[in-house]
Amino acid sequence: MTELLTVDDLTVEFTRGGAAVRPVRGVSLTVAPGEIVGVVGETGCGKTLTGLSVLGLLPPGARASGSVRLDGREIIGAPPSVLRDLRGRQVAMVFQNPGTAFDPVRTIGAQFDRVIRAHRGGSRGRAREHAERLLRDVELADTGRVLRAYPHQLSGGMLQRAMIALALSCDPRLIIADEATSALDVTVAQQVRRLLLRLQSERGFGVLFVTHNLAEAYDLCDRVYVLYAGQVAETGPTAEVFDAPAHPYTRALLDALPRADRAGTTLTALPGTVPSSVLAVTGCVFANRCPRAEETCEHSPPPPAAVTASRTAACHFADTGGPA
Amino acid sequence: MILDVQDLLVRFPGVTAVDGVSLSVAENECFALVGESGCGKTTLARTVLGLQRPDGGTVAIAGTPLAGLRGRALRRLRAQVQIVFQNPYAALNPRMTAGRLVDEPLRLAHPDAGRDDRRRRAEELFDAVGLTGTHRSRYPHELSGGQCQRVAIARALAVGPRLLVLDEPTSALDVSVQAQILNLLDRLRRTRGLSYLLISHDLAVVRHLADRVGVMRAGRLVEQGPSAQLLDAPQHPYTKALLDAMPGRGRAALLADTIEAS
Amino acid sequence: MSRPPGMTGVVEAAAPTRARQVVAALTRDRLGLLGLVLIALLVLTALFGPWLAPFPEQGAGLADVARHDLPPGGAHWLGTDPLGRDVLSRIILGARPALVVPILVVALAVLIGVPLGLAAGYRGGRFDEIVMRIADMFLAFPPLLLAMVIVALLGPSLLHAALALAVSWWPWYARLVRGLTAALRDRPFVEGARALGLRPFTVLSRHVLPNAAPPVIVQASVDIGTVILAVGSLAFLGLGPQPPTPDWGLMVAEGRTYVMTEWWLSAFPGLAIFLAVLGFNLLGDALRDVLDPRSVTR
Repeated sequence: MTELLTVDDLTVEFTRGGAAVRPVRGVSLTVAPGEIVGVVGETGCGKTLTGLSVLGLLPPGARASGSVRLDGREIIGAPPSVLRDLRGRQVAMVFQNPGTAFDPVRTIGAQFDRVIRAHRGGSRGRAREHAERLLRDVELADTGRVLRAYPHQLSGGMLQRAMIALALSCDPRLIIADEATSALDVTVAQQVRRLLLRLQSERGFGVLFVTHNLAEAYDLCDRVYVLYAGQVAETGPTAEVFDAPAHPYTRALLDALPRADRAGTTLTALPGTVPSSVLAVTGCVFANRCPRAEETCEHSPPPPAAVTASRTAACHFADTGGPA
Repeated sequence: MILDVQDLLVRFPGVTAVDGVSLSVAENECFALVGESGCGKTTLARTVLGLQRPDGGTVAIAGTPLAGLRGRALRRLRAQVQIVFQNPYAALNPRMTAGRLVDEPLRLAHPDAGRDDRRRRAEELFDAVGLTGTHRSRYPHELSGGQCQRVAIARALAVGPRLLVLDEPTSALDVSVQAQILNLLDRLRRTRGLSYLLISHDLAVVRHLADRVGVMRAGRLVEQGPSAQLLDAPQHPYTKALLDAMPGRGRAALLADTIEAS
Repeated sequence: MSRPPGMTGVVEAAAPTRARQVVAALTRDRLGLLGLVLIALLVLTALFGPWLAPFPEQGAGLADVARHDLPPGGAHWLGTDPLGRDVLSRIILGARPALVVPILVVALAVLIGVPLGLAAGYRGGRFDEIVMRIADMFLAFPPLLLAMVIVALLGPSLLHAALALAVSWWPWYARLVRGLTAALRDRPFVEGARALGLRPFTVLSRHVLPNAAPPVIVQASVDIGTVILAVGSLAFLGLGPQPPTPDWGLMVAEGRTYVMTEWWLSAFPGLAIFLAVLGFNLLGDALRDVLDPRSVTR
């Protein structure tokens, strides 16, 4: 199968205060055409930088190495003109906060017009028709009013829908959604998730869905990558990973969730924190918090190992589903 | 009743933020207010804290009405109710160390206490929230989000409140840290006999912590009741909509979901 | 009594470390360092002027007509003026008023403006309206014009010039601090402090002011430079210090008549003003970056 997106051994490095910081350390992942792939993890796990790398949008001072190929084209080290061409046409981004993603001093219509005509050319009238079609597609009814509005005149949910419409304006093959529902109210967030799922099934684009919300990833994603301290801890089909986690970190995350059947009980909280300098860790980065850690874990970092044909986990004692 | 709110009315120019809400929180009870942004739950909390003057109705803390109190008497009654905010970094003065942040309310609550006495009390508070001595000299930006939230809780507890207003206390935190803070809140309630007014949009958190739940929409309390009962068999359509919007029930449930676009 | 290793001890130990960290961060910024050096030179000159000046009596105003209008060189590095006074000595002795007056002006403006701004921003409502309208009234006058009126009423002197400038300067601080306070008032940590039952004065002084201070400090630093210029302008107009006071602005004014032939009379005092203003502006810019509490330790 030809992958739409192939990230291979991606590493992102900064220099901060004279010391090297490596928030992403050898992440590999793939997204097939028409697939929704989740990247989940906690603050600082590297999920956002991984998403930004695909657009070549790393913050200044960040150096990426490894390989990010979109439809076979290498993104790391590509000249700005190539990246500009890829953004919009091949890959588009939906951000967490649509309020800041739009230009506050121009109307929504003007921003659609600029993007549509920059990528597709054509007249203002044609661009406007296209914009209206897109807005109807994201279930925004009063398209005329939305196009005339400035960003602050729309609600967060409407803006996020408009953001998705704008992302779709050039028929990208891959959408990167970074915490796309996290700033929204619960009912609005659910609507946006449903919208994304419907659009995806109609149009067949691939989605790289970056989120901290495990429940949301469970609902939306075909496959998930669980990131910890800049590395992939575990990956596999969503239902399998969530129903029978192979990596102790995934298990710990799921155990920590408050649920109806855990009401009134003490939650199993993961002790400790991510090592402050992960580069100094010689063994497994999770060893200091892991309930299953043994001496091996302190010394040798576990490589990603196959759990089943479609699943891997970077753990010496990965739960392979057999009798424990 | 530790908190008794009757027919509360708060108006802002152009909107009625809280529109005739009545609710009460009993001793050692956790009452959750659920609703989306703009529903008035935060305004209600600020009114309970005495930070916002009501335009009608009454708020009574442990039997004493807030109305009419000013100056010292108001400040003293306020100490009975403390707040824990959503974003722990924003809730702590960035220019004070954790030690000073906890010492400040201790001075207020125990003006006659000597330095050693206050230090002993601070140690006890740090211990109660799961922090150690090494955290005391740190500034908020040198602490993790979970540690900051613990400092904020210790600071709130220092004046000896009977009711804590928990304003989305874990929604800015990671899953694993959220579990730690929920466990801590649970333990503090049991060991210190605290009452909670929990404000949250996360029904999983609400169900975990709360005894009773009130659902707010557009300034009104549309439904309230024991949490298991209300969350298992919601009566009001809006409560049902909130429950339907909870992720984590799989893709089929997401697609079957029938919330109307508003 | 040995101090137990308690929290108070730790806090006390932390404060000077932070101050030192700020200075260390300042010296890492090259332009900030240049600003610090310029200001340090100015301060040293102001302190030790009478001992540093080659001709201190001439600096103070004693004429030596025999050696008038000498170009730079020889015993008079920066030349002499039409009354035979050593230009270098006059510049050196002029450092003290050049430094003291602007500091006085800004200090007065801060002392008036900051409390008013804090109170207005925190209380809001009618009080806020009144204070801000008064501030607007003062701002509506061009500062030099206002200063001219005051000096005209009280008579020309350095002190009156300083007073005049302070009166026209405080509204900037009131407005700056009012805006910062109004924004800080709704921040959770300030609401939390109020909820604790702290007195308004304590909330303002301990929680609001320290977080509003960095922009004020930056503004004050830049303003000292601006006031040096303003004092110079007043002196130039004859509304400030009177001859034979060694004042840079006055010297520029006196040299104006001869600027085509004896350029050093105006050029060197002008250069002194330029370097002093530059120093405070550079320091202000550097402080802007350094005073963010997160920039110190990260």
